[in-house]
Amino acid sequence: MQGDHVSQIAAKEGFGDYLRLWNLPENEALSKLRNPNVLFPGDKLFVPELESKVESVPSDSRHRFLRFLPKLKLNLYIRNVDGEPAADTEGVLSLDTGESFRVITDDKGFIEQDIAPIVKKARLAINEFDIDFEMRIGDLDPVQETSGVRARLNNLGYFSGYDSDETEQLTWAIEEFQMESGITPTGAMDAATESKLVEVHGV
Amino acid sequence: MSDNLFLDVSVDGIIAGHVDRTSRVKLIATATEDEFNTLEPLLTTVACALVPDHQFEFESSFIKPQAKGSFQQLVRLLKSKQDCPISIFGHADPVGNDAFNKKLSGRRAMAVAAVLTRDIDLWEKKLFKNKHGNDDWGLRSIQLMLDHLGFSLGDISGLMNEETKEAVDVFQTQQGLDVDGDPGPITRARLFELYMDDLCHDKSGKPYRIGLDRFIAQGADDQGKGNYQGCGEANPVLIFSEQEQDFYKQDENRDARNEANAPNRRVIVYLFREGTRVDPNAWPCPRALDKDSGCKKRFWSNGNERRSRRETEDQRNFQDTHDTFACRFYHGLARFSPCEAGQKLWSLKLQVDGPNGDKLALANRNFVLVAGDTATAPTYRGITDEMGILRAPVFSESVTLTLKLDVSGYLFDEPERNEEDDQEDETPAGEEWEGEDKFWSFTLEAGDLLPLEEPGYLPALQRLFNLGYGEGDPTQWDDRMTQHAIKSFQRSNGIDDSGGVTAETRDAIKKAHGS
Repeated sequence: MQGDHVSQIAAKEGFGDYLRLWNLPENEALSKLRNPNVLFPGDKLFVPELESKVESVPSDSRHRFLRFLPKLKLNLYIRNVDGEPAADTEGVLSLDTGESFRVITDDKGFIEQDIAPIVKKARLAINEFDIDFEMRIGDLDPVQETSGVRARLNNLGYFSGYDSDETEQLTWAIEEFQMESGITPTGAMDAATESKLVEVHGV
Repeated sequence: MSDNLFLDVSVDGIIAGHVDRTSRVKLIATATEDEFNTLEPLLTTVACALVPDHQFEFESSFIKPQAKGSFQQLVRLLKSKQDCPISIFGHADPVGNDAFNKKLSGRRAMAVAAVLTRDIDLWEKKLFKNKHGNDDWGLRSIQLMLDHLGFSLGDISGLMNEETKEAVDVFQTQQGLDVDGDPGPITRARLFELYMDDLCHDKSGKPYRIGLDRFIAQGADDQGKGNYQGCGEANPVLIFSEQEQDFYKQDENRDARNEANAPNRRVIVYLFREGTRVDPNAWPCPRALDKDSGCKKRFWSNGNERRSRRETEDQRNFQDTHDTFACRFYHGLARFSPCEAGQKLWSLKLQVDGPNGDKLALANRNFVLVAGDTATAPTYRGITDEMGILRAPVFSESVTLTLKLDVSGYLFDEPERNEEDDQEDETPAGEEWEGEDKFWSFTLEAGDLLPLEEPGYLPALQRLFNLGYGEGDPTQWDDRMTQHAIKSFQRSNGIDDSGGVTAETRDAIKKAHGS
């Protein structure tokens, strides 16, 4: 489904650690193709029956069971409209779970925030730069898909249109990105542009 | 775009809002390792103001007195969107070379910026004292300013004479300056300021100015990088067809070419989304007076083809095809702007038969132009220029235009006189004259004029009809009417009145009609 990512599926199905699904031999093909945070509708993730974990412990001592949970994060790199990092500035990150955090970008414009796998929507407001983003978490498609290219370019500040038929804006955005990334502008996606787009965007 | 928000459209220019087509929604991924999402706001233009070519002196960055109409529109727009920063873009037509035109258009943008901020120094040092080819303000600009501010001096000759010296004397006396009749730097500074105040004020007449912080790059660059710039001929809104080009490249059609190219020569002020600020070093456009190499770096991969490819018969217009701008960065700002994608100026030269068979220009006449015949049809009001040329923005070529022209004083029948008429009447302003029987009415069918090179008599006859020879639909003229029209034209132009459309006759028609 759109918006699914492996951590979220793992949480929903009762597997704490997404790696318990991702590292299964049945999912080897998928894990070679995709980043676990970036799935595409139609991708098939194998989810086994959840086995109950039986631990036998002596009755005369107190034990705590620790379950290892890898942290899921929201890593954001915030730039001003001119492409310069929005460094050392304060904002508010609100999640659809009702939580709200005061966040501060570091000297390179980065924000790192732990989030629960069930968060689907978030909003980031930074007054200094008049930034007000609505974020749909887990909705980023793979870069091999046009929708994934469009979304990344849009995130990077190049208006790439919304619809699949808005090729004119998409061509515009690809050329702008290629030029600013030191690739000769052609307006068309190729392997070099794809990998550069993932590198610059961050996923 | 029908959903664009025109706030005002007139001969003075256009102000309009942009429909926001962008979105603040970002689709992002979570991170299990070191993934991240780079997020940057979109650079979004929210409104525009167009200052047309005829508000400037020809090939010059000097802003004419009439441009106060443009500034009134601009002030209205700036006041209605107080928090939106601006950047100003000048454009030239595709005649001449890139480097020269980039600078010329940059100077026009600079001249507008200086009026808004009352930067007297910019006018003095970068424009008045620093000429660029034919863009040489010279004494003519001083004369125009003095004359407009009420210090009349007779002919605007560009040459020093007694009358000019006297006008400067009076100005200096009135302003408490040393009186020497010489418009030196101190006198100019005062004159520039008063002239700028006259150009740029709000509705109540109070001078309107903005600070450098109103520009997108603020005052961060002392040469205005990001605040104003020239695109030269990189971004034409119309490109002549091959046929038109063949016609216009002939020397005798130079004036007609300049007229037809007018929409390409424009200054556009863009307003950006509230709070937008950029570092001038990160702004792609070179400074107004810098070379154009920075522009070319930002061209589309097929930029030169976009701005120069010609169709055989049809013009290419940005509003129809959205592919005539070479600069990709500018394309992004302007793509959905009604100032770029919606305007076309009609130019009509209006004249009457003079007493000696010559043609008199209907100069400085009020006109009203109604596009279409519906109750909501847009109406443009304006004044013809000193050449009798009427300019009006037109948004559709298929519409029938009704033109009412104030011709008081030009009527053939001597009007009945009463005592009040003995004093020279000012041309009545606005609606006053429309109610009286002092106007002529024309119906204009747009787009049916055939190129003069087409075979047959009709292209010539259409023009003769426009020029006032012959009556009724020229496609229906009989031999007698046709002969009469051609011979009359030939006689008034000193050509042998053979009644045939000879090469000589055709050339004369071209010249008289302007196209």
